[in-house]
Amino acid sequence: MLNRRDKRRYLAIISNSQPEMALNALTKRNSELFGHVAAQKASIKLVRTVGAVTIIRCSLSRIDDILASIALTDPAMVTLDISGSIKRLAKRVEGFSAN
Amino acid sequence: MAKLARTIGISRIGAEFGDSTQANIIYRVTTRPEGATKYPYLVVSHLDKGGNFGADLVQVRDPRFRDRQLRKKARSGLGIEVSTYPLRKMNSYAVAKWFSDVKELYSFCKSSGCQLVLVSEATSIYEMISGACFDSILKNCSIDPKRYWQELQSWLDLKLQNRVYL
Repeated sequence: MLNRRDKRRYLAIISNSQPEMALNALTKRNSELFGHVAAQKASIKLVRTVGAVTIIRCSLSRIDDILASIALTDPAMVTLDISGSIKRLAKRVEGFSAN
Repeated sequence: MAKLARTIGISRIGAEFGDSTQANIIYRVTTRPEGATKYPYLVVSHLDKGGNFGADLVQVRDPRFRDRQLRKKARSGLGIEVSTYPLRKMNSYAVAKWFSDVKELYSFCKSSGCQLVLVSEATSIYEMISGACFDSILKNCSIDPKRYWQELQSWLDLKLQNRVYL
């Protein structure tokens, strides 16, 4: 049987706090709202920062939970874009940073 | 904010009426302007402060606050505005209750011909909520996002086309 890895999505977010702090706040809020097991399955990771934009990675199956958590997290953060490939997202985000 | 709104999948935003006006912004006013205007607007009233049911939009602070006044006076075509802003400070229990209350409010809106309007009440770009995040919140409230946006667009078109613009 093939051992397929989970599909992922990359999210570009901007926040008024440090990327690590924003990620911690998001992970904590996601655990509070949807449970620790769901938060673990979401496998939220910090990928990179492009200027003021932070790129995070999560599991596709939990994307709705993550998006809801982003909207309900304090300190506030906003989702700029979502993509299945980091290369394409970084390209779009570079365009945003330039503007 | 208007520029970022397009990036995050929001085609039009609402803002308090100030001295200058911009395109793609629907202005929120408390009293109906006399005569024609150069800008689109919606008359907003607060339910907590008595609630003017002649307004286009009635702001409900707490979706549980569907008291007798709202049930009796809500007429067809009235917009009922609920803000997601307080959710950031709420605990998980209160958030879950809010989702359930919004689901009930949406059912009430459907039965009475009103329109549920979810707003972010953002005061900075960081507090804005993207289209995708709104969709997720709607799904958590058991509301079909596609249907919600279609209904909101129709309601908005109907409200704004009845105005006289310069």
